[in-house]
Amino acid sequence: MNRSAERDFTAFYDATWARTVACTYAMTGELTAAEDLAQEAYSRAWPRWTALKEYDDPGAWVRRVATRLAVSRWRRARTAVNFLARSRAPEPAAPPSETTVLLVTALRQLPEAQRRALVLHHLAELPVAEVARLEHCAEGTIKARLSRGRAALAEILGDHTPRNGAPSHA
Amino acid sequence: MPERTPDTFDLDQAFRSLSTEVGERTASPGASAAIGAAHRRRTTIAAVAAAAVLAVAGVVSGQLGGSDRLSPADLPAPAPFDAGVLNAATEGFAADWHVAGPSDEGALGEVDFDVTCGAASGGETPEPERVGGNLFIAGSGGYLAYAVFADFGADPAAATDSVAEITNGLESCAPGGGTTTLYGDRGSVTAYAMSLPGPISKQVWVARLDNRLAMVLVNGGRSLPGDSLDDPIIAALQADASYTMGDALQMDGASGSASASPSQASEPPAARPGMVDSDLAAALDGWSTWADHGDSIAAQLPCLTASPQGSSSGSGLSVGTTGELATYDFETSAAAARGMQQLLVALMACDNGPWDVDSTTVPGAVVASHPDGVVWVAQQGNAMAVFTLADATDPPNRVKLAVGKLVIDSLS
Repeated sequence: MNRSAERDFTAFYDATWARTVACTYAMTGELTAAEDLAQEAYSRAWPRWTALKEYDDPGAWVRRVATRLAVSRWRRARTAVNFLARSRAPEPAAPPSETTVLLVTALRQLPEAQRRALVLHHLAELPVAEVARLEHCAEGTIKARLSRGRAALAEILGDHTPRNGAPSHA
Repeated sequence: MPERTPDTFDLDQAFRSLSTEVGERTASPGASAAIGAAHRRRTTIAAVAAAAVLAVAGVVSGQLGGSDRLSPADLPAPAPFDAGVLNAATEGFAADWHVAGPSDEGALGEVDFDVTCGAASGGETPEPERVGGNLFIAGSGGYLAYAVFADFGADPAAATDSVAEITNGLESCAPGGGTTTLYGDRGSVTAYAMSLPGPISKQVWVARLDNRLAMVLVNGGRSLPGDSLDDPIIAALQADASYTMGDALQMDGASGSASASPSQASEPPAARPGMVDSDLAAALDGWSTWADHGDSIAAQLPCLTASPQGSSSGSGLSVGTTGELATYDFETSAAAARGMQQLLVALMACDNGPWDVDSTTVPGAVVASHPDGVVWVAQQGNAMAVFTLADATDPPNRVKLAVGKLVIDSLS
């Protein structure tokens, strides 16, 4: 592919990187691992870029691949070991906001199936049917997980979040 | 878009905040790193070797003049390049050749794999349609060999951009040039004796037969006769079995370097990409009743209900309404090849009616049809993918090819 394609891909990458990482971060709770998953998804997107760029939303393709990689990460112990072995040392960074900590902490308290359903549907914006296919279950099951997950999150976050939406310091 | 429900808090707002904050905190490696990773993945040791082969073969073929075109009967019969070939070629000074495994890691650590003298370390190399090969160790004599085979399909000129660079690299390591055996105007084998300090011998054979290319390296204490591997290499170039990548080379390629250190070969493969609905929709192009939305139909196709024999793990993924992609891991590439063969035998001997197996239409994959469904099977290294499409049969070749590519990609 030529330099024009590389420029297009770079613009696409820069525009969609944060959202892709947000998806994988919400699923893994580990920023370094989330970045690795996202980068892997973009590495797989590049060889297909000629076709992908014609898609209505190439970012959706990358998020699907990234979230599938994250799902695989859960499902396959060997892959988890792989990621562990490849993990970079965390770079010094400002601590995340209390809101983010609360949300990610709350997500990690949910059963994994509910967490995956919430992230895939609400953050990756995959339709329920696509989430069901990813999770190998019926759409009704995903809807139930979403409902229970939302309720559980509300309960967990409700203990920490005042009515104005700001995190509680109490 | 996500479904909205009257929840007690705004989950979407929480996720938007999360996205914003992650965007502020994350430091992306950059698109160039992603592109580079993709290129390095393609620039496996096999691809580099194939490019080197093409480079040299191009030079050699340019020196040919009006040779008769050989028929298949004039060539050595197709046969895989295996330990037996090396045992015969090194009889008297090395023996007990075998495919390298984890127990050979210590021996591999001392070997210089850079057959191109660094000349092919940069740039984009051509991408063969099929690549295979294996790494061998002699049980006695301290010898190592690797053989790589590449099939460039109908476009052998794809690698010509690398010709000058790689040829220069080889010739800088083999100042005396190579000795060439011609196979009519269909191909040639050229043996190079690389110039190395010390007592270690390193020989490289580069070969071309039509659009298929090979490189074989033998590293040890004593040189082989220059023409000792010519016929076995030409034989292997004609054997489909040559285009399956053995574990050791596959891991080497995954490390992303043409001259990767064998110590890097211990890294497990990355998670697989699976198959995306939109890609499958494009591949099917309206053929079959498959749809990307709707209830998934968990069809039990005849003689496909059990996991392949010898697989150590497996995972499944529903794709659209009637598609199922299963991937299986095996301990070795040989075990994966056996698992694939046993699966195909089971399909052909199926009690519910034999499947119609097509192993010629899709390079690198097999397609089998049954009145109840279609299955694509591909094997790469120690992994195998099985994609079933229920409620469909006898796909046209364009669908066989397009879906076959997706199935092969699902293992990459």
